[in-house]
Amino acid sequence: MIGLNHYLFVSAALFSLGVMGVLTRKNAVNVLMGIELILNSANINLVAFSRYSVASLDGQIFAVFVIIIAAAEAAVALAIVLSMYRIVKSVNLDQADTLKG
Amino acid sequence: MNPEILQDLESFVPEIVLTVALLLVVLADISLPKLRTRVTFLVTAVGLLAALCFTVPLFGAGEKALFYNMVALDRMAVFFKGFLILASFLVLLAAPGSKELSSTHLGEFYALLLGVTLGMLLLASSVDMLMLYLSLEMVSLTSYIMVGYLRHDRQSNEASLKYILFGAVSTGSMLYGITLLFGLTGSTKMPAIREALASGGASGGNGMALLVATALILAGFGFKTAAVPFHFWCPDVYTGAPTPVTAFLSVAPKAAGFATLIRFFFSGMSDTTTSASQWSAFSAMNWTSLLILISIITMTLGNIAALRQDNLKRLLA
Repeated sequence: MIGLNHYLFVSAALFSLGVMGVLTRKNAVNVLMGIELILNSANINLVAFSRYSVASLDGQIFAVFVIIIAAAEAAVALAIVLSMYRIVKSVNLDQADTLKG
Repeated sequence: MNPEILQDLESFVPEIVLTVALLLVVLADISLPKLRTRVTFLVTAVGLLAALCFTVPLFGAGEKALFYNMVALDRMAVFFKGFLILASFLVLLAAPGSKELSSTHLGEFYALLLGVTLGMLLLASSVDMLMLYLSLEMVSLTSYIMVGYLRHDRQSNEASLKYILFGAVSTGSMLYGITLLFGLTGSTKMPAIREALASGGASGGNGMALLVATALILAGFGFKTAAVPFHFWCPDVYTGAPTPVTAFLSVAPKAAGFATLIRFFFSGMSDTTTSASQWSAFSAMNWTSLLILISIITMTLGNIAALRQDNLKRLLA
């Protein structure tokens, strides 16, 4: 029988994969994919908690909002990546080094 | 419509004024091609001033919770609202004189400025985790665009890219922390979270998970206020962004971030020390001293790093 713990394991695995993707990838688009994984792992958590441990729809509504925010964030991030590509002709984050911080 | 919500709208006037001004700026920007630079500036200025005028009388109005406990209206929220609107107004005055910005199209900049102000007002007064996350993202997304406003400038783009990558990761992990907290306590409302934590009943005594959740949420706040482990984005973004934006970012979102931080840890967490022994792992951490430690490190490191910087804007970071 699949229970709350299984979902939490999946979401923890997704979260770790997302963080790993963000930290190790050099391509800006891949980093954005890692960020999407992080947001979706949070969604799994929300819906699983809402279904199994909390007797309300709060979590599922929260998840819908998170999906919308993720879409908005992806739109803004991709626009910035695109505008960066027009100038630098590359989406490699190693090229973004004129500001040494 | 529900009469309760209509009643709450009366205490929500500053936000409504800002929303109306935002829409007017967007409309004027499209429909008045000749006058738009002046009209958008005027509408923004009037909108911010009107919002400020409506905020001041709320100061004595007493504490209230609006919209089914989504937004709180207490003295701290009103104080931060006034402060944030004032900061936005000063930036607005600086914008047309700036060489970097005046070469570009300013109407959208005013719309973004109003949007970020609206987001910060909501952020400073939110007492629900959903509201908190939404307004945080509203502030973040608009400020990413403001940093990258000079589209043809390489530094501006780069700063914006770094800002959005750091920002998205930290708000993402903060969201994960919020979901864990939601699972542990069964609610997204801060007072309910406090009660659940104080009684220790909802979660079955899972102190470790609570610790992880709080640490992740703190990471999100840390990014917003540029506290020590999450301050790396700061110098880059300040250098790359147009100067008025730098001035704005160094004050306003940080103030809003601190307001939520205070609210979160003092209204959401403060009672845990009095709870049962199963929370000992958590209360032993003592959040107050941890926050003091972080702020001391932030200030010291900031000053030491400033000694080595030659760029004035980096120094400010």
